[in-house]
Amino acid sequence: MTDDTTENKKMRDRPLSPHLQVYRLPYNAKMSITGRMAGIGLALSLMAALVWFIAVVWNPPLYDQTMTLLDHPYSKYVFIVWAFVIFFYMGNGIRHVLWDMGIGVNEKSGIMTGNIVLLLSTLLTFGLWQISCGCWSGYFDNAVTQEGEQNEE
Amino acid sequence: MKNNNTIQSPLGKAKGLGSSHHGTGHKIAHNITTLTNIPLVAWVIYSVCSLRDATYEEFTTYMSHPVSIVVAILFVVSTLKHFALELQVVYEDYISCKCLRMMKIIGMKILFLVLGLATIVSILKIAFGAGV
Repeated sequence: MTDDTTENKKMRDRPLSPHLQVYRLPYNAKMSITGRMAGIGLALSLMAALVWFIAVVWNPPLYDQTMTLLDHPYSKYVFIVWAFVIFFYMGNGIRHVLWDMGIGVNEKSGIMTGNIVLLLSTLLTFGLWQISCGCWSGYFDNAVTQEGEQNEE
Repeated sequence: MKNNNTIQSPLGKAKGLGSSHHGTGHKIAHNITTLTNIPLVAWVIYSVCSLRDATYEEFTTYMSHPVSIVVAILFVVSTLKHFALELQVVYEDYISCKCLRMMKIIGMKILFLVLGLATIVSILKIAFGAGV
């Protein structure tokens, strides 16, 4: 404790055990646990979607009821988040396949491919949003008309 | 005993300690379903987007197409297999009590099997329109 001897320095430089309470998660660890949480979320949402499909097939009136629910303005945000998580998880999956082939297994490549996955999943989400329903233009049209109505009032 | 080089006792072997030798197969199946899920999920996203304002009749007509039937069944099998493998690893990593862990893994796999079969039957019901 007195001075910075070689022995103390050695002790400090020893690797830290990756225990969650004492380990500040670096970028790659954050991406790893986020990918796993995305997987759990997608597993749950897949089960929910399949249950919805089964319920609709055996009880057709439910279809119109759920479609009314989807007309709610906030429901599109659920689909946007869902799409992002799907793209993120698939990108991470491809990263895992490449790692198992021995490609990009080091810290710098991990950070680079992680950033690529984040960027691509964001772009794909916005691209899908735009292609699927033209929600960007629709969103801005609504915003303009709503402002106009408020001004008239 | 055939393998005399090991220091593992017959009791240790019977208790199932050590590597199960199932890890590589698990990982290969996980990676294969990762890759097969890509076109299948792309098809589902395309279907959901194109069926956005569809009526129930349009929905059933779309799902009755032979391509839809085959791809939908492949999607159900591939994704459920993938997530069964994924969740098994999560349970193995985070549940230390062996009994609870095995119960969770087996229960999850049975649930996925039931869910997958029910979905496939529902896909076939839409496809062939049997009045059950």
